[in-house]
Amino acid sequence: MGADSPLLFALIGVGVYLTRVVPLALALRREDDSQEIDESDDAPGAMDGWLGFVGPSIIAALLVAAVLPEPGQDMWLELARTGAALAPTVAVAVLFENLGLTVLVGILSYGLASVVI
Amino acid sequence: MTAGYLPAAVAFGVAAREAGLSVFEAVFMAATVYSGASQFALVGLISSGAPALVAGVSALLLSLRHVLYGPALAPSLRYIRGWRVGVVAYGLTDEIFAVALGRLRQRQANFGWMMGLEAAAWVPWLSGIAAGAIAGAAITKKAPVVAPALSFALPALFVALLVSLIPSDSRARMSGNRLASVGAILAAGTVAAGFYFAGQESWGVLAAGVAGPVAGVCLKRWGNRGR
Repeated sequence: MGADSPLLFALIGVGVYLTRVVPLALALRREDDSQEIDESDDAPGAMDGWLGFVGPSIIAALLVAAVLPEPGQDMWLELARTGAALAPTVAVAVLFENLGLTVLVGILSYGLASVVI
Repeated sequence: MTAGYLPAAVAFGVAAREAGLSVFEAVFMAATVYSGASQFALVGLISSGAPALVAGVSALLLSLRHVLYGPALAPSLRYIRGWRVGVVAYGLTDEIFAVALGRLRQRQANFGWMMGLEAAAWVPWLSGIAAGAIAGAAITKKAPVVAPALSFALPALFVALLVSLIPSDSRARMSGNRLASVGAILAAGTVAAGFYFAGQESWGVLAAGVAGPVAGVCLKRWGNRGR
């Protein structure tokens, strides 16, 4: 990375922070105005319908890009290792919904698959 | 929560170093961006040689889900006012939101309670990243088999985040129903794979960020119509 990477990170950080602070501040102001906010009204329809899917979609895309073999790798061998590692990883993620445990199982599974396959 | 954050933080520190970031850059990114998914996305895109604009837009698109968190928690945060709102908002990560939403259903939180909760995530996240960034290179040098294994931390984290973002019954009201979410994920993954094999990996993330929600919204409307 170049010398300007901290600036890039800081700018992204400001953007991420704004996505957290602006909606919270506005919602608390509505609370101040004594407007009873029911949970079902918290997210306007457009946000509920669209933004709720943005995060999972981008993470899915990142997951696909992360598990597909890079050029020059043995495609089927790499897919076999990835598949062998993904199965227990997904199982642990679904069963326990624990981020750290899932990452740990993923690392161990892929390490084992790399040795065995 | 600390136990959950530490392994992922160490893995991020190692991944950041392998992507060419310095220890300072890895920790600085964690402190400023402070969003696991966006940070891993940035590192993944940086290591694949994506332009800064694409990396930045992807990270910001990924953080758009945070827009929903503040309004959902606001009824339980009425006692937090002024500058404290800004401090609480900084630590409003996916995990903090999920824990706070579950614990605060029946009561109000004060500033100290939220700070305690957020510190339980912030401290292990940053210290774990620093440890991974400092010691990761030495570990992978002494035990080469560890390097490919650690490289799977990224996909494993994405799996964990994906599963956590697929709405359960109690969260379905916020994020759409389960079928729509799975449909959005499958559509996004398919689009991303197509772009990947076409050699346009970084643009595939942005395309998936549009295709997935379109599929999700369509499925949700179709599902609502069927009721």
